[in-house]
Amino acid sequence: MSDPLVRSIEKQTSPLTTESSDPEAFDKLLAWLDPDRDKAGEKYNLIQLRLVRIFACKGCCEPEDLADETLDIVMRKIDWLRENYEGDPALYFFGVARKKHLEQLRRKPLPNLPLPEPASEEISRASECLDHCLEKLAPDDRQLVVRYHEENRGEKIRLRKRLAAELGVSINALRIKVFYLHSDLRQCVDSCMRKTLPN
Amino acid sequence: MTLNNRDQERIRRYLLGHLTDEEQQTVEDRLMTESDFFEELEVSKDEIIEEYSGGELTAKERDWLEQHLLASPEGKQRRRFALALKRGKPEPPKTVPLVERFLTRLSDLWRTQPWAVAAIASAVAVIVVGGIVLRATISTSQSTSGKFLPLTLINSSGTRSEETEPATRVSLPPDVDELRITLVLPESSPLASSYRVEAVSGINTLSISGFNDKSVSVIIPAAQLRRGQYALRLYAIRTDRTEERVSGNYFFTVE
Repeated sequence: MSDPLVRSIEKQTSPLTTESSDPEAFDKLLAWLDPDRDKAGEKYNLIQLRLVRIFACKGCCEPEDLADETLDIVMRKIDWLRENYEGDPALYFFGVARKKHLEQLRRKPLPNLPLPEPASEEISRASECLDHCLEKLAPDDRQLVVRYHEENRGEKIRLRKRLAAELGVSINALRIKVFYLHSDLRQCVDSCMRKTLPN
Repeated sequence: MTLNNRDQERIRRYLLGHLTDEEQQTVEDRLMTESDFFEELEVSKDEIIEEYSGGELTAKERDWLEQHLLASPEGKQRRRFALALKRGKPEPPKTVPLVERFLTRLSDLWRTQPWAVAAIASAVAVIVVGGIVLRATISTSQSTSGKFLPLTLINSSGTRSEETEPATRVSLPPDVDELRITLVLPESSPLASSYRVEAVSGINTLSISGFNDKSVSVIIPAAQLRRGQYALRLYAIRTDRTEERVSGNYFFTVE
């Protein structure tokens, strides 16, 4: 069974490319990741997702493109890797990714500007979409999300501890549950906003 | 598998730019190979962006976030979502200070019924004068000293043994209301935005009155303390609400 986080993220991102311009090299790459092709495919997807998310942490504007370039570079070296590399393949992927990121920074350093605020109109639309998406949640989940965000700062911490106690879960389990609800809501809000884009 | 507090803190520090290049690489290697660690990254992104939107980060952390996570399409999307969530939150009712409300009402009353205001003022004056006279004739036996006894305790980890070394001894005079203890933090104590203290046994009410990067101040009402040995435990509470025990105990003996 695939990782729940992978499933959650897969729903949000564009379909991952699992085909390649060099099918033979791609097959070798999958075989290198795992002899079972289905498991190899899952590992490949997971590596790509993690690369994308880590690139995002580094402020990359095109994390999917960088991740794809990384995967292509590794695929081109697959014959050498199969003979010589020992260790977790994911770490090799990331070694290549680091170099790609540094290359990008040399070409295009991070902007040193104050971050522009999102347009008020955009936030209004997002807020309306969120109201609509909250209605689609199960009542308990909807109430949980609303209550989770009721307070600010110090009161927020006390409220969340209370919520966790009411649900009979640890604060960490509550955080993770709310995260997955957020993931679903974000996907719904994005979809809603695409449908309601102004002309 | 649940991550420990240290790992959660490390993810937070990674997202907020508090790690060296070498530490970042170690974190990123783990993100590529450990599912729970990666999940924590995703969970923490939401929380940190919520804090960013709520103005809870330092200026340096804000700058880092703006140049890194929030500069990416994913970061922008999460930020928009956090702002939409925040906008949907009901505003707390604006509370007008009590004095301001009273003066506003008094002013309205003076305009409409000045004689009523004069009558009220006279009544208040009579009550105040009467109260002063009454107080002067009553002798009070209440103690107004509010005296406290200061005490400084060093952490026991690595330096003392519970069983072999005597705890700091303190003798409480009868007119002391509270014991104010300064708990000196060990060098290895975790980073914290606040603290929690508890007694191993024997003390029901104790509170933290302040802290800095070197010590935490604790108040214990003297009425709680009988003769005997006590041990206090300290917990560091991080900005992400997780707790980590400050290793060791703080011992003292009341004589």
